[in-house]
Amino acid sequence: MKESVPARITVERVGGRVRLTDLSGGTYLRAQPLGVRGDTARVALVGTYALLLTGDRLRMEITVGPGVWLELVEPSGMVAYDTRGAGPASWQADLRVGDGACLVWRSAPFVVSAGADVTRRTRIDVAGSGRALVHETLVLGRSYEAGGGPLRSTVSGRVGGRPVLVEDLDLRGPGSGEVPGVMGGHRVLSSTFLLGARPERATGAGETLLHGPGALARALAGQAHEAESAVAVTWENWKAAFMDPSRYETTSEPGPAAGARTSTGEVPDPADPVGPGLQ
Amino acid sequence: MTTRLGTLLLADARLPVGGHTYSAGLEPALADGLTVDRIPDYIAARLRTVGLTETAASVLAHRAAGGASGPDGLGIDAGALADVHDALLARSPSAPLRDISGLLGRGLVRLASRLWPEHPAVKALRNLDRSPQRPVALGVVAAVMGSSEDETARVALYDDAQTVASAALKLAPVDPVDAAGWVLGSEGVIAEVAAEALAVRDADDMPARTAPQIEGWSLEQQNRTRRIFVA
Repeated sequence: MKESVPARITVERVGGRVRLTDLSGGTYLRAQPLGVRGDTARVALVGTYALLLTGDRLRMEITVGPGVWLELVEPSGMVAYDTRGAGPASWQADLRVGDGACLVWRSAPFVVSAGADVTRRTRIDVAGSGRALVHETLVLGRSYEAGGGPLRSTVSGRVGGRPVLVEDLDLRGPGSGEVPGVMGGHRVLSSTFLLGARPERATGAGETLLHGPGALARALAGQAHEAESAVAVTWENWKAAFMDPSRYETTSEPGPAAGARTSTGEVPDPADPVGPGLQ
Repeated sequence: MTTRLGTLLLADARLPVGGHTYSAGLEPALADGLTVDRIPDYIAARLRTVGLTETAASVLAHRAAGGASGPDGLGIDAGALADVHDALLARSPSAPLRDISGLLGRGLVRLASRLWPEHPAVKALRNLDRSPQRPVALGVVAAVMGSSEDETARVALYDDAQTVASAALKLAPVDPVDAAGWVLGSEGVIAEVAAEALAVRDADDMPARTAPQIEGWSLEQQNRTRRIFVA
């Protein structure tokens, strides 16, 4: 079992400016700043290896401080390889979104090869008036494989400490990909989670409103591009409606998240767009 | 051990709580191409996913209501009951499935309010929501009628299997004897899932086994104009 170091990304307002106060790459991931503008930041998550092997334990901790808008960009997907019975691998993400903050993360497909034994755990904790829009695509088997896994993937979404979405997709049993009602023989499951906000109604196919402040759009398909395109419109709509960065880009203008800010009216220094996190 | 009359009533489709409107997702499943020979697999899949989650909610609601308390209803923990309800709602992402569950829950509340209007557990259930989710209502009503925790779990799971089987008779050319055989054939899975549900300690520990295709089917069903069952 490899000892793993979690990748950490912490973005906060410090002295009226957004700073990437922690960008420690972990054993498997490197965090690369793409830019800061006003109260917004974009960070790329780059895999140091784009794969997960027996005994690997990938962890990441993402923290978005109050009043900050963060987008994570993931240029390439991740493949979990056949462990040949030698032991499981795990992937774990802890996402914390502060009051008045936004996190946007359209993650790249997560491919679980046949024989890979993977446990995924995603925790999204949204405080106060914060919001998170997170997309994931799980692919069972590479294109030439009939299925993948065993896989167990859990998602826990909380807003203000209360559970809004709790899910446990358990595809560990033999033939579980074929079970009617669960995956029903589909290889791919795409899900878009919106937490901390709720559209007035579900409009697109596969969209549903959660009981608490949140919504979910989901598609099952045979191919990743089919599942992703089935929820693509929802992603764009929800992103435009609830995750608009323009209110955060100018720090001098108090936006709807102003209550959470400690704005000093300071104008960001264009020569130092990222802050100390870069050094 | 004798079975409480209340448990038998809860398992009886003739109990006037509106169960006949519900196909446990079978109607949209068949519309999407599920074949009749796979219905037993569908029954088992439901038991292991939504069945487990809902049964755990019923068991926890039964405990929050003070267990098989009989007529006095002492020991109702309204806070714990609310936690169970919240935990179940967070595990029910499909809005149409929450709606139908609320509708069926309301049927049980109406029954309980007429039969035991002063019972503290029934009052707590009513205070929770006008239309509480059915598994929570079922757990409380079972406790009030004196059913044991184990009976409550088994009746919840039996009802899910039987709902699919009897809906199949209205939706597909199925021999009623075959449908009865499917329900009997799920005995092993029901025993397994009931044991798992009974081992759940509290609302945080409540299983959340996801069935994405069942959720998707429920969203398709709500938009159909020609349908026999609401869900």
